[in-house]
Formats: sequence, C-alpha cells, structure tokens
Amino acid sequence: MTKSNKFEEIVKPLIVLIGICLVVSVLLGFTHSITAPIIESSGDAQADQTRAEVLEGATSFTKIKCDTEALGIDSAYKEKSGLGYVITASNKGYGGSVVVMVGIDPNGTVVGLSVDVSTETTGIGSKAGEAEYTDKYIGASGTADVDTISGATKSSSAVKAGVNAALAAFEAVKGE
Amino acid sequence: MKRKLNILANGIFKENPVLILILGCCSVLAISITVSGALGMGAALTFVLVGANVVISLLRKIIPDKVRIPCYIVVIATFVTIVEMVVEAFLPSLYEALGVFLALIVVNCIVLGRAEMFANKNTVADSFFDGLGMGIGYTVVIVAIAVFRELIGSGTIWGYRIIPEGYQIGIVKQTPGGFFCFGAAMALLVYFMNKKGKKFDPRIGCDGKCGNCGLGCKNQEDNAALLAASDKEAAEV
Repeated sequence: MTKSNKFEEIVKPLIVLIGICLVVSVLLGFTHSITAPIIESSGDAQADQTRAEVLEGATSFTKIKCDTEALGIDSAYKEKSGLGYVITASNKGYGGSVVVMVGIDPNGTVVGLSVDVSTETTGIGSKAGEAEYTDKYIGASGTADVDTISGATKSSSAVKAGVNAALAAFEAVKGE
Repeated sequence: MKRKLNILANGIFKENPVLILILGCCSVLAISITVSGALGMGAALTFVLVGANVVISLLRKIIPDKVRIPCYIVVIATFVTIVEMVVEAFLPSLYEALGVFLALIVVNCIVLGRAEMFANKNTVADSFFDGLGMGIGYTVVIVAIAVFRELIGSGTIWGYRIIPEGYQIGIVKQTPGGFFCFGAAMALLVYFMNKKGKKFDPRIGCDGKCGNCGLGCKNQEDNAALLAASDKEAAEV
C-alpha cells in the first residue's frame, strides 16, 4: 500500500467523519441553547399544573432546597402565595415505585393526595390509588387512623409511607 | 425547470415513497390515526428529507465511499434532533402525539434511501426537489389514510366531530385497521394507474433494481447501461 493510498483509505475517511461530527455538534449545541429554556419552562408549567391538583387554588410554586434524601422524599414545593406545600415521595410498592404527591396546608393538614400506582397490579394494588382509599388521608394530619387495604398491603403501605414521609418533611421545611 | 418539476412529481406519484417504494411504512401505520398528527409527521419528515438531501448532496464529493453511511446517519440524526428540539419547545402537543416516531425518523428508510439512491449522485438543486417531492408524497399518503381512519375510527376530522358518537368502527383506528387501510390505499393506487391506460408495472425500466436507479424510471436506457456496467464489475470481482 503506497503512502497516498493509505491516506485515502484510512486517514481521509476519519478526518471527514470527525469533521462532520464537529460541525454537527456545534449546530446541535446552538439549537439546544435556544430551545432548552423554552422546553424547561413549559415542563415547569405542566408540573405546576399537576401540583395544583393536590393544592386547590394554587398557581405557582417555588422549590424548597432541603436534604431530600434524609427526609425520604423526592421534592418539596412551596406555594408562592402561602396556600401550603406540595411534597412528593416515592416508596416501594408491590411492583415498583409508588409515587405519592401530597398537598399540605400551612397547619399541617393533608388537603389533597395524588397517587401514581401504574406499577401496581391492576384491580388489586391499584386500589391504593383510587379516591375511595386516598380520600381517607384528606383532612388528617397523621396517618395513624388510616388502615392499609387487605389484599393490597404492599401497595397501600407504600402510599401510607409516602404520606408519612411528606408530613414529616413538612415539619422540617415549614419554616422556610 | 421542467426537470426539477419532473423530479418533484416523481416523488409524489411515480415513485411515491409509501405506496410504490414501500418505504417508511412503520410511521405511516402508527401515526395515521389523527389528521393533525399525520400532518405534523409529514412536515417533520419533509423538513428532514430536504435538509438531509441538500447537505448530503453538498458533501457528496467530500464524503469518502467507505464511511458514507455513518456520515449520512450523522447528518440525518442532526436534522431529526433539531426538529425534535424545536417541536418539543414550540409544539408540545404535537411532540406528545408523535412520541417516539419523531425520533425514529433517523432510521426512516425513506431518508436514508434517498440519500443513498439520489442525493449522493445528483446536484444540490435536484436533491432539494427530490427531498421535497418525496416528503410531499409521504405527507399526502399519510394524511389521506389519516382522514379515513380518523373519520371512520373516531368519527372526527382534526378533532371536530362529524359522525355522532356510537357510530364508529373502532378497529379502523387500531393497528389491524392501519394495515387494512394501508393495503386498500395501495390497491386503489394500482387500480387508478391501471385505469389510466398503461398496465401498472412497478418494475418499469430498471428491472426493479431501484438501488441502481438514481433518477426514477425515466432514463430507461441509461439505467440499463448502468446495470450492465455494474454487473460487469461484479463479474470481474
């Protein structure tokens, strides 16, 4: 193989491919820098809307910085006008993670609860996500009065643990 | 100019990517449930096709043969990613409707097929019109199928109710219905082509070896010569 042949065969393809990749990266970076803030804000707006479902009348939220790992929660948000807090926690259920979003008013009472039981068995574990069960928590400031569902113990325990963690976290963050 | 129009029309009718070349059917079956989604998908694909065709045609003398497929994929993926980001930022509802099929344009065989069959052999302007024609051809077919499926399956067009609730044929909007409609659309096209006079023969000109065919089926003799040359080459190897 002659020298120029080697260049044509091995080096040139490499250079071209790398060159194209570099140009492309710049283009993508540019597009990303324009669209990323818009995507983020629309994602925030959507998340705010979901949070408002468990805290009636809420419009916008600010994230509370806290040690979520130590508190056993995913995130904590404060309603801007002081209506209360929305705390999300997930716990292991029967099939996977059960995500609980709890709306808590400034007095520490649960005012809204939304449970994602999409990982649980339909018809059994999914009962832990139905209003018939989740409504039992509303108006309470503790979970001692609410029993787990027999037959769906793991799923409903996960919900209970989530609400517990949220209430505990509320005590920790309410001053902020 | 006439040549350009020919190339454009070629993509819409004679070499319609979906019904005649039968490329990119996966997204046609999946997205043709609603008219709005189909139109969005068509627009996204057309943009990617035109962009990729133009860029690949520009680079056709620079890209070494050995790495051409990776180069095409990188170029196509770039356009798809740009479309994805823009759609997610400005049309979130469309982004949700198209779901994974937007990202899957990267591996849509129409785009790679046109890069390989057309853009790397033709001028930038010709490639532009080829991409546009193919994109329009795809959009026309997917929207036509979507009109039928949305009307019969959901009783609506573009979300507006036309047929009262309870009179829908649900299967039409489900997966099997997609196959039925797709087959029926192909049959219809063949029927009309036959009716127009000439017996429909998808193998016109190049003996069905579309991989060797850059310009549709117009230059029968050229293609035959090309085919002979490539056969000879193959024989020598």
